Amino acid sequence: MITPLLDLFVALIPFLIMSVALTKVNIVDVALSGPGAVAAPPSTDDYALSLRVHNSKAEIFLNNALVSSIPATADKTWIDQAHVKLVELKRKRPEALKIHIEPQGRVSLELLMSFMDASRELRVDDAEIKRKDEVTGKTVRLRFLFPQVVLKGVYG
Amino acid sequence: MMATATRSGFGFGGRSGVKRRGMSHGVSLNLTPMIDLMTIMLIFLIKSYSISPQYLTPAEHLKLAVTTSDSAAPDKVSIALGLDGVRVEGKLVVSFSGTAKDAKLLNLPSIPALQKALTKLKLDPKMEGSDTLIIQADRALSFDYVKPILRTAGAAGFHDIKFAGIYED
Repeated sequence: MITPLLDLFVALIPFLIMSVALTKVNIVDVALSGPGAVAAPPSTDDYALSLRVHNSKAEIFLNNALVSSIPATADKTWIDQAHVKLVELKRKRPEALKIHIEPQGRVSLELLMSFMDASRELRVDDAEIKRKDEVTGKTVRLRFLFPQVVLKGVYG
Repeated sequence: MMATATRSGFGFGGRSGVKRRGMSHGVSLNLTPMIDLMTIMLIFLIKSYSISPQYLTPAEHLKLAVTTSDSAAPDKVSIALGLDGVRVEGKLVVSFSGTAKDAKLLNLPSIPALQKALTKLKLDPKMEGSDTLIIQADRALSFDYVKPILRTAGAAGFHDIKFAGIYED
């Protein structure tokens, strides 16, 4: 008989509908540079990477020297271009983890979050970056780009 | 497959069912489409079912920014930053006008009303002294408006800041 199957469906479906989450809210960790904010450990090397986000352009600085200036586009192309440049920099220095992001002017949070995502993680279509693990000594494939995002400019 | 089994094997719907039932009642119910629909729904729902709990539900009237971060929101204090102001536990604590009048507010080292509300939350025994604050902010909000909130959070003892966003793979 098909009745038990129908009973099961009727019991399961309302339960699953009640518990389903169609939108998932996730979080992005940020550290703040300045007083009262902790999080990112102090830099021990001379590698200071920062990304200045304007509404009209994005600028990447390495040790205070301008590496790349990417003009804004109507779509998300400029974010992808910044990501490609950051991947290039990561390839040269796989052990670097920190990036300072400095919003300039009236930058929206949406734009800022897009740049934070572009700076934090390697994408599926990025070429592999490998690094020797200091603890195990094995070569591992990196998943993150610069996961320690520090927001600059909050305290002045 | 289900539909075939129902038609041929179980006698609901289909011609044989009509004939058999028709003799006694004159009415038949074809369950095949309903079972097909239920099967599809069940598969979809099981696929989207998550065992891990969702601690954070997006605040009303807020359009959160999209993120690719796969870190789930923890069960911590959260505040909502909308275009009209800051809400703590659903109450509007700070109002934004969206005009030049906000300039004074934006330059403050700390917003007193918000600091008071956050300090109260921080001292809540349920929070066990956690210094994590989740900020749910409208994606259209300028970062200028977020800065004083971050400064105030720091002054209230929240040093671990997390921005909430809608996950998009």
